[in-house]
Amino acid sequence: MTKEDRPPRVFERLFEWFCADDFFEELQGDLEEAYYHNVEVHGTAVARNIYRKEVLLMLRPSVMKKIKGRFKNSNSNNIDMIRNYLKIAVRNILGQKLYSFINIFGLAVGMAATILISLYVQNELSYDKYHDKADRIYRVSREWLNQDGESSLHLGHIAPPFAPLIENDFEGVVEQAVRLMSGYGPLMSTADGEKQFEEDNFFFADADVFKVFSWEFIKGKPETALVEPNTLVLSETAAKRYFGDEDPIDKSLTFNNFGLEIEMKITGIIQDAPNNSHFHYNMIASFLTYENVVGKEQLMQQFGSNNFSTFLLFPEGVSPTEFEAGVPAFMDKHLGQSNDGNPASLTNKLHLMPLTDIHLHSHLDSEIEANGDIKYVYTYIIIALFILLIACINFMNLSTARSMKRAKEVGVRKVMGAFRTSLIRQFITESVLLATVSAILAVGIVVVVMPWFNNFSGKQLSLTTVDPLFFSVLLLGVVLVVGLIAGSYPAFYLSNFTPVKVLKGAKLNSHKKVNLRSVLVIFQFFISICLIIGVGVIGDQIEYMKTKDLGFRKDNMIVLPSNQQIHDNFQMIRDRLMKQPSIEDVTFASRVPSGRLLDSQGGQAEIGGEMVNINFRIADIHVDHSYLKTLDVKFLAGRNFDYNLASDSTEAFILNNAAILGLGYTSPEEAVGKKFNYGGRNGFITGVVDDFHFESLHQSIAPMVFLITQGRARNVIVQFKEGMEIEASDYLKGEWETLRPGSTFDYYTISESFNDQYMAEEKLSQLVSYFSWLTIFVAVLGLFGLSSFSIEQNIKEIGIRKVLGASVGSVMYLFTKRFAILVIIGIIIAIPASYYGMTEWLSGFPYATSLKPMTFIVGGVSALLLAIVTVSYEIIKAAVSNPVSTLRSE
Amino acid sequence: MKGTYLGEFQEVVLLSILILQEESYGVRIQEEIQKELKRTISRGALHTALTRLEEKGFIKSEMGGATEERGGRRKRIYTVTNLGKESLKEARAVREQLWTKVPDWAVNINYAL
Repeated sequence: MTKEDRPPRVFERLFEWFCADDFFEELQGDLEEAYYHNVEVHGTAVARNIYRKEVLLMLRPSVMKKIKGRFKNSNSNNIDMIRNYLKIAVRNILGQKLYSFINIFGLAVGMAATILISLYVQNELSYDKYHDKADRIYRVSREWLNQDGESSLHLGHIAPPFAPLIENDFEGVVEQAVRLMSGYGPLMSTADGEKQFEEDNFFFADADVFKVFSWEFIKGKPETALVEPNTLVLSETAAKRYFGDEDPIDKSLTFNNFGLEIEMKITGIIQDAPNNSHFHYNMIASFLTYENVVGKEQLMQQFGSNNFSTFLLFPEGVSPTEFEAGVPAFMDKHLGQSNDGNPASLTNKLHLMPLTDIHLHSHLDSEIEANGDIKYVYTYIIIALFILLIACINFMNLSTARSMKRAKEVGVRKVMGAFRTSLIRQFITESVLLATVSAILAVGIVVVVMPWFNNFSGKQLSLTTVDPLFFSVLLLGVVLVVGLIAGSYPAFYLSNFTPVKVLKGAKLNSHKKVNLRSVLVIFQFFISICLIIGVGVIGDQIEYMKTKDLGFRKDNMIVLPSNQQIHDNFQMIRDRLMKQPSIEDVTFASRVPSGRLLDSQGGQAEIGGEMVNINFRIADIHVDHSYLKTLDVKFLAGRNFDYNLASDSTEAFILNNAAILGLGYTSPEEAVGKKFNYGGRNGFITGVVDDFHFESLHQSIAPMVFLITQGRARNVIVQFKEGMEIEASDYLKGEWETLRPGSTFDYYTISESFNDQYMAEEKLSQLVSYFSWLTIFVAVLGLFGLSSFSIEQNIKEIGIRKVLGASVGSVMYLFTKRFAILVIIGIIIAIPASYYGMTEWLSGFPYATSLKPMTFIVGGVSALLLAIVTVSYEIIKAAVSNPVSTLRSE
Repeated sequence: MKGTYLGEFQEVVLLSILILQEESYGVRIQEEIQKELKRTISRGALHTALTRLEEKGFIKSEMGGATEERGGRRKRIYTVTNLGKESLKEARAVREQLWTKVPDWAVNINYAL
């Protein structure tokens, strides 16, 4: 009999373990008989499943060994004591429903936040780790330095000759070097033209790309898939989209972009890029396809075309430092000297970054996709810990506050001979039990809020896909940590009571001026208020960035994609568009405000009568005559481009003030008329514009030069008349569908695009605000428990005060003051702390809002009001009660 | 008469034992009930019911012979005691009496409501 035929071994053992001896023989016989019967009728798999189910359903008192009898034999009373602890704990929980609810619910909320954030963080940390060789893969980036050794540009993409040269020059040090280049959203269509889509995630990649990355092949062979030119590998989803359920292998798709039309044969289907990848592909075409178009010789000369993501695979046991040490010599060898006579390695560097670090640590001037940020991961972890801590504090506070009620129990236990350690064990057991109940509730909360959290974080987290081992360790960890932390203080505090005193009825809570409980409440509110103020400041900064005057007109601008046809007929199209009543102006440019300034070239400027090399980076923007007029940029000196001067198209340069200052001119006026050479074009500075924010406010204003270049119309900008966006876009849709047949019409407005730059801050602000309200909620919950308990304890005092003539108002004032003082101390500490913290945060922005006192006031006052409202519920109830009812019994 | 009260499931189990006679042991009873009632019951649930019935004295059991397909393990054969038979009859009598009191028209199934 083979192993496969037997019932599942684990479940056999399990059953043997828990089944009472009296029934074991017959029941196991029955299970086995049924199993072999099922094997014949339904097959092994089904039979095994039925067996497992049957065993689990045997977990019932009538079948199982009697627990009591089982432990009696072990001759220890430990088990009995634990049973007694549990019994007392359950009675305590059920007997004090309000406090138990506050405890359990507060802890559950804290745990749920912790679980969610742990899942989020685990996902963030798991990026790209699924590759078999992940620890040996590094990405190469390229940095340019100016003559002072300052970094002027750092790109995550490098030039195409590097990868083959590295493979050649670093033999033995580098195992593979592969390039990926975006296809820049080609239009892909099936042979019959029936299905066509623009593919954003299209890459050309070296044939060895699958030796480096271990994406799983569903069809085709990784070794040969991309060896031939004009071959294409599709992701599963992409394959479905074009071919449905048919087998796409050996069928073809036509690539259409850069004015090229290439038929590509499909040679493989691979898994979709996992969500936790720092870039996602839909299609990967062979690099030879691209190389054949450009020409291999040509491509190996293009050291300025930095569009190629390059990844290196190092052999096992080889340290990347060996490569890094060789980089300067490598750069000098292939790039030679820069035009000022210095070796290239002084101004050009290659850097490595481990593949698995890219998602959280790489923030270069170009990336394949927007990355995450380790700072946000830390922020989230800290917030989660805070919420959990505040919930733990609630637990500690309520337990110690209620210690009066438990004091007699402790006294009796001690008199009966309980050691202090056993009392500590009792209270810890109790808090672990509460923590367990909370954890179960927390999992429920997580399940409920998961869709919302995913929607907001852009992740696809789920309790079903998370590693069960990780999850159970996490859950167990949270329960134990919370149980121990929250339980330890009450345990030590309560077990320390002197039996004689407590049994005599001495008052335990001597009114010390400062006790730990007050300190903990202050701490809770300190954290909550810090978070609220943080939310306020982040909100202020977002508001500031969105509303700051950028120095040009960003409203009413539509940006449209361009193509060859639009390039060639731009003047004609412009004239046609300008006739529309809804359109104010039309212009084109290589770069549009809100985008990044990534192009730059070298040049010379006339300074003091001599031509001097420009030793810093001036970004270029290729435009047409009306660009600066359309954007309504302010001129400091000189004039704008003029249609009537033919020489403007070839000789005129307009610089911004930052460039003028960088060049060393004393005033904009001085610069106008000076000779200026740039990117091989010789001309004059004809105008100087005031600095304006071309990029988002995360960037300082860069030196810029504007020049007229026909044929660089990557973007067409249409300015529509105020309030006529719909008319204009409707018209443009029709126009663009004839100009770019087959493409979908999509446009964006510049003001939207600017706001999109601040998404990361918006997300942070949302998350911090949700969680800060959560912390204040948990803190207030604890305060409510504490206040109602305090009222309960002092109800007689209130009665006597009223009998002696105190008014409702004065009683309320007296009791509210006790709690308000704690919150106010919290505020006093929180203000400088958050002032310091938020100043730090704002210093990361070149253009930051000033800290507004109002933000701090709102944060503090709202916390205080919330606290007062919460405590006054119980206080009012007590203050208006009839003293007779409270003083009647003693 | 709490002691002799028969639950619906217990009644089914008793009847199955009577049907199966000397073949009435765990799996067979389980099969019989699943076949006749067309519902799945677990062996564990059946065990609980059998234990309860034996406690009440409605059935008694002895260990029977072992067979090859049970890995050489013996099976427990159940028989219904006189007490069990009495309570079965009683349960049936109660029902029949109730049925005689039900007017015919009351059980006419009326679909045109």
